[in-house]
Amino acid sequence: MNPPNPPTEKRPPLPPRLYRVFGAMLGPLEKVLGVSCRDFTRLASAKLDQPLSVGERSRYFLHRLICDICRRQEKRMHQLNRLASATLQRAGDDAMVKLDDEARERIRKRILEELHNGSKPGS
Amino acid sequence: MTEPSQPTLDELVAHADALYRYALPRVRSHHAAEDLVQETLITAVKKFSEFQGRAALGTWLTGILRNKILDHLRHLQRHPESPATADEDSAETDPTAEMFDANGAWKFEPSAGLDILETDPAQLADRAEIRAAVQQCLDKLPLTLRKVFVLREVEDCATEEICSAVAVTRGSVAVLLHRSRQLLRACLQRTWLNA
Repeated sequence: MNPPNPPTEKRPPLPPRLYRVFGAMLGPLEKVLGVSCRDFTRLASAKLDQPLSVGERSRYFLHRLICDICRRQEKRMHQLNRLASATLQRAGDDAMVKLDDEARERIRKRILEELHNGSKPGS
Repeated sequence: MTEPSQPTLDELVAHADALYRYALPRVRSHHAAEDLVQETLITAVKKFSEFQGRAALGTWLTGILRNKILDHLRHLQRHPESPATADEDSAETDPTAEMFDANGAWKFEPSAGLDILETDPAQLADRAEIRAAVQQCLDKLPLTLRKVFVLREVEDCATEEICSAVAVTRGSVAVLLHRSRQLLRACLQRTWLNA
């Protein structure tokens, strides 16, 4: 008897058929003009961190106008940034994470050494 | 305004856990986080005269720690701890390339499985399994991508600060941020589609 196959990883679904049909027709042109989904994704990310040039803004808005998938993806990227930030901020509130006693004692000793070496607090 | 009174050693050390919790997710190393807390408290002892008492002591200490973390990341960038880290970071290949076809169109639906993100991020971050998934995906990012992402999205650092911390140009910061955001999205998508 053969061993059971390991569960295969579920992959994201293909984009909708209409997207693929239009992509096949207009893709080469979009690529040449720099308004492909790949270009848009890069511009949407850059837009969060710095102002885009006039040309970049035009390409960004043009693609955004015609591509529903990229509009949704951009929204998810914003939401994900906020979630990642909230997650790491929350990690700082987790009272279970703390220094062990040994480390705390080592830090205390180092501060005392520093004080004895003449670094008076406030001096 | 009265001068803030000198904290006792116990008062300073009482902030050590909170500082450690701040440092750990940002530097990903227990040892480095401990060292940074120690350096922060020593700096606080030395420079207490600069503390004007406008903010709480903990806030002032966190400010010192934040600068120490940036220095630490800068140092790490110049002197990687292991050759593997250096190799990983010097890779010139674009990890987002496989998400698109030759014409730059998506190969897969990029938002599938991410509907959960419609929920308020603060509420989502209350859920331990969501935090674990995000943390796991952040940990999977190559070191430089993770650093750049955390500096921008969590520390809200300006581009110049990020350039200095990871020793790259402004243009490279944009590329690295783009890659880190897309890799994080793809990782969480895989995680949640297979949950």
